[in-house]
Amino acid sequence: MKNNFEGFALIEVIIVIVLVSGSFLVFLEALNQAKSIQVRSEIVSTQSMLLHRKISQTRASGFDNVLGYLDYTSFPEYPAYKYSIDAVFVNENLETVNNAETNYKKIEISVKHNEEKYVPMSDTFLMTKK
Amino acid sequence: MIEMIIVIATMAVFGALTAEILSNATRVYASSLERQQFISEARSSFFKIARELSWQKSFDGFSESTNKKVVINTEDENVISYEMRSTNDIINTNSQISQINTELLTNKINYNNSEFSYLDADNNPLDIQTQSHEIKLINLKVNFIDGDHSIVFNSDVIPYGLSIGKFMSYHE
Repeated sequence: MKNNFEGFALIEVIIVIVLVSGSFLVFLEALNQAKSIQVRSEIVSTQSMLLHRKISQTRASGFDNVLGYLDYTSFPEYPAYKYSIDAVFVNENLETVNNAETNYKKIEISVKHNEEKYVPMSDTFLMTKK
Repeated sequence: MIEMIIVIATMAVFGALTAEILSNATRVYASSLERQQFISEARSSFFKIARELSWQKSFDGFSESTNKKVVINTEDENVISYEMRSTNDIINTNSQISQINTELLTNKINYNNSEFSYLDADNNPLDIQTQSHEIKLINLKVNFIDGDHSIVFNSDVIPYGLSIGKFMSYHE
């Protein structure tokens, strides 16, 4: 009696393995993206907290103590993050005034992660002379 | 016969690798979801306290505050408080809510590494009992912890009622 069952040929197994491997790659990429989103979410939360902190500190320091441009500087407690402050005098129409002092300052604070792939977070506000 | 043995061996190796990869991937994904949930809860708790700290209307509101508890007297005559307890949680009391006005905000903090501090304009710490009228900033530091997950949120809050004067409609 002839046996019709010959099992899988090696070539068939290899083809299956290649196809399944391809689908795994897609699956692992999806997992990797989920992990990236979680890390990004955590970084944005920390950026937001640090921006809030720096805005409060700047406001508390008073109108006269904030002026000029401070290039990106690391937070001592969060060395992976940096902040910059840009303060300029503006007039009542919020136009920058370069050669005179006014009663208004426009402050822009920006917080970024050391890795350039993360977008900096910034906020702009006004301070007025009391 | 040889081909069959090779196929069986290949399938065995491939199956074992597949199981290992799937197992690791599932573990990483579950851990990632847990972390995301943990961060979300920590963030919402932290920013709720930070937002309401800015409502402090007067220096007198600090008379009952400590490094583990802050009492906020708002412009609309309500009293809100947040207390970090040694049971590693934070409770929130709010007189705006007439019935059950005390609730558990979070039970995922490290009590020993969490505190309120009160600072002057130069970020120097103040003694809340004797120097409350010099407060310009409130520092809020909370170490959230849940199993293997831990994160420290540390921010300063400027109480608008103290530094600007009358609370206006456009203040948070």
